[in-house]
Amino acid sequence: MTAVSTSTAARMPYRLSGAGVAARGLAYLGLGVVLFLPWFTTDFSKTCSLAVIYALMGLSLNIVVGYTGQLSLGHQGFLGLGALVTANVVFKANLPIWLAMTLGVLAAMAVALVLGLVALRITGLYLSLITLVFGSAITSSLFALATFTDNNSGVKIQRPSYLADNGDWYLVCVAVLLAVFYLDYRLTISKVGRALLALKENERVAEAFGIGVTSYKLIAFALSGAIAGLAGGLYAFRGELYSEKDFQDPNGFTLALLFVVMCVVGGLGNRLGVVVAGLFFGLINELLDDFFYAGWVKPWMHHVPFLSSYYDSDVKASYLASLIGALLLLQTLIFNRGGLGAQLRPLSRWMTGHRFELHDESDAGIAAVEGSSVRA
Amino acid sequence: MSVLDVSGLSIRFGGLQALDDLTLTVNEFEIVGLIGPNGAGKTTAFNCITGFYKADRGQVLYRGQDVTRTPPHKKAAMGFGRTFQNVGMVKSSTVLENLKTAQHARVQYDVVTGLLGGGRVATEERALAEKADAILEMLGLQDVRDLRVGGLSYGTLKLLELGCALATEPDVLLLDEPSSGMGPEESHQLGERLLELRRAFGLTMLLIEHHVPLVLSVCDHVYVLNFGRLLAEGKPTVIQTHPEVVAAYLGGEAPEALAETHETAEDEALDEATAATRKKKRGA
Amino acid sequence: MILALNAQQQLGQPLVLGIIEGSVYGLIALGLVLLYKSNRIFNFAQAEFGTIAALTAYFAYNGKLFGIPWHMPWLVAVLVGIVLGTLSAVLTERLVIRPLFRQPKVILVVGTVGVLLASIAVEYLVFPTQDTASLPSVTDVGLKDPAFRVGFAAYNVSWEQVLTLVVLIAMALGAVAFFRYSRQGTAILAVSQEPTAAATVGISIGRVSLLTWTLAGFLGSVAGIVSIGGAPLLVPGIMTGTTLVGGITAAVLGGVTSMPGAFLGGLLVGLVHQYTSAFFSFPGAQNVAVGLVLLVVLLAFPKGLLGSET
Repeated sequence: MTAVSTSTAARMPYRLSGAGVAARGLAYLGLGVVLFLPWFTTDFSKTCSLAVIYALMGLSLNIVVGYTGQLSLGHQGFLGLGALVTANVVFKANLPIWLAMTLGVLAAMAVALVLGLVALRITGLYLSLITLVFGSAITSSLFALATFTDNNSGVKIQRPSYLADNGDWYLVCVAVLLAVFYLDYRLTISKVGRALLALKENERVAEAFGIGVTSYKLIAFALSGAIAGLAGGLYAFRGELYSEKDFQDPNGFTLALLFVVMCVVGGLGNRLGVVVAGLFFGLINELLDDFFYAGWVKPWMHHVPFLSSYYDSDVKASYLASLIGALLLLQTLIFNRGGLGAQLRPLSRWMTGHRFELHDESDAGIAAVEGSSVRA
Repeated sequence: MSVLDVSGLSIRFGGLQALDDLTLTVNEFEIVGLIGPNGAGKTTAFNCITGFYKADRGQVLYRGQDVTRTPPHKKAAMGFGRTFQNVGMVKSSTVLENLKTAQHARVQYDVVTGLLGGGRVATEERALAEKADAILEMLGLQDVRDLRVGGLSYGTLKLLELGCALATEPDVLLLDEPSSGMGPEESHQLGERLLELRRAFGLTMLLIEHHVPLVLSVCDHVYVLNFGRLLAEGKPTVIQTHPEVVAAYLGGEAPEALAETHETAEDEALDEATAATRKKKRGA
Repeated sequence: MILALNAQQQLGQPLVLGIIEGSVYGLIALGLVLLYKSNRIFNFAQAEFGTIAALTAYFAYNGKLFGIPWHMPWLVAVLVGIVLGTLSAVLTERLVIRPLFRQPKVILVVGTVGVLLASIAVEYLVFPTQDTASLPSVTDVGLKDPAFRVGFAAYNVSWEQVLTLVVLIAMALGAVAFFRYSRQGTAILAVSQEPTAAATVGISIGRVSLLTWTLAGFLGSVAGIVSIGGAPLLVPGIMTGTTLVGGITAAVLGGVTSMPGAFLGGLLVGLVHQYTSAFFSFPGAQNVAVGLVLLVVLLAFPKGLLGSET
């Protein structure tokens, strides 16, 4: 009567052997070591902090775009708001670092809730326009007020003495990333994640299942804003500076667009892919510099017509990075919709105790991307 | 007390009066059928009753309580289970995930606890999975447990949708054409299943149906809708030969419709000719 | 007497300036509406075609383009700029839009976002952009005197500004006529609403798509040339930074599928900008005002002020 997959029926539950556990344990240990290594450096760990912050932004945006299906083109606004509030409460009221960052989170969450309220009435393409305009508006108005920028010279703050080292701050960032990653995991295996996925695909069905669409959309925006605000606080303390120019156009919207590219290239709805993509885009400027100025590259790269302009000014690194990002985006959209996440799936399944398989039948990731559509 | 009491339900879309003063009652443990030609307003009625549309006039009472303006997700929590005409499920998720999602209203832990985790969440999640497995077993769908819903056949989807509606722990089930896409054998099985479910879970049901044998075998009472208006109501056997109902389906006036069920002289002549031709063919 | 004049000027100047500024938003909006009518998506790279055109024109006229100091006459440089800007649109259509044609719209929109990022990056890498000062205005060929003076606003309108407005009106009228009277126009509408049916009656979807994007590229390029003339600084991303949000708002105000609406919407946005900066002086006031207008319009009129899905 019904179409049945015989392989599923025949599949036995997979049990981990002792060797399997040991191998995976070793893999986790290796990962931990690699993550820890930058602690020994000073400049590189600062770059790595930025990479981790980008990864956090990826997780934040993923909740709204990947899990809830709404395209947000103004997320630099939340990052900046977190930085603005954190830096200013420290600068003006001398609040301790943890309290300052909490306030940054709350501020970003509050504004995200407002955007969420808008999202209840306006969806799809029109919502993405609103988010674009929102990003522009808030970064050019609120962020630029003299009182928040210490009269346009940038708010300077300092990390507490026990975190003065760049390497130490990097570890704080990594700890936050791991915590948020775990939170995201809990999100997806709980009723909240299921509710978001249901309402992303079919609001009527979600309601028939008892899911209040209003509440959950607001929860998604609030959560996304909170994580971005947290990233903003980390960002402010990383550079020990809040400068509105970091978030204003054209840097601002370029950053917002880059975050979207990150999410898509990482694989919408795939938290590991999004984190890896974020790390990649955060590190790429450094990597490009190292590549272009490497002893074995520079002599001949000078003569390559298009790329040789890289050496004219060091602001070029970020633009070549966004070009690479755009190319990766195109490749992902056309050839590999599941993004990095789909590519990494065999590995991530293995790490979580499953058999190593190149093709997974219950692969929902790609279809999740196909399912979303923009209604105008 | 009646489970569902709909009175004077009316809704207008632009120039079209989709529902006009609809009144129906579903009593406890009844299986009530809602039939009528395509476009009669049956699904519209469902949407109004379950809260997806806001009716212009009228009232919906659930066990005496006015739920006319209650939003759909709250109705689900109250005990309204529903299926949709174009199979309503989360296509990109697995069957198991869908069944767990369907139990959303029954989950005890709140959002924050869900995010933080802990023993209680794990225990409840396990319970959700067990309930899901129980439903799958009851419907004979264990094999598709971990498959993505989007790739399944239509017949499986319809059955699954019923399973999701059951997962919401409903008091009253509103099924929109549960037998669509099914052949006579499958429809018959569905009918048996519905009766069994009523017995096992003490359910009350309201069915939109086109399949006459199913309506006959399963429904205690039938309402007929045409052009948004109640045309007739009564026992299925009575409705089946009700002249106006037949006319509505076949098109034409009542006396002609009755006449069509009698063989005319022309029909007899045609039968003889056909029989003769067949004999010739067998002979040759 | 003097006070009365000032009040009149205060109200009048933003009106004139608003119309002039709005004409650029209108041009961008026209291109956006054209692509929305044909592809049902918003092209976030629309304004950037203008930057490409402007940068090309500048370096062809005054500097090095691809390493060669062309020193073309100004009008030739402008033409080359428009050609190159249009070509970028064509490239976008071939490399991004065609492969993703049947995908959900959000995929295409994200694709145009990628094109925007790539364009800005390429501009930095291709043009020696440290050297850009300002682009000569289109009318630098000799008409230095102001075109006319708007009395009540005490404002001298330059020939360039007149040209911008004339170009906008011409384009808007042309677009409306095109869609209503030409075969290609109808074909474009057919493809956007029912691609399979359109293909069945012999309309080449590929050719129609190419045509629309060429037109859109042309509109965007022209917008870049006429609006950046005389601007203090010409940097990659400038058209997007200064006109995309305004253009999008204009398109939405006008109803997303209405050409005349885009035109009027552009003027409206220009007026909002000018009146806001005349009466409010906090930073970013213009962006906030436009944002609020967009929000209010979308909340109250989900289909825009003039639009309907035709």
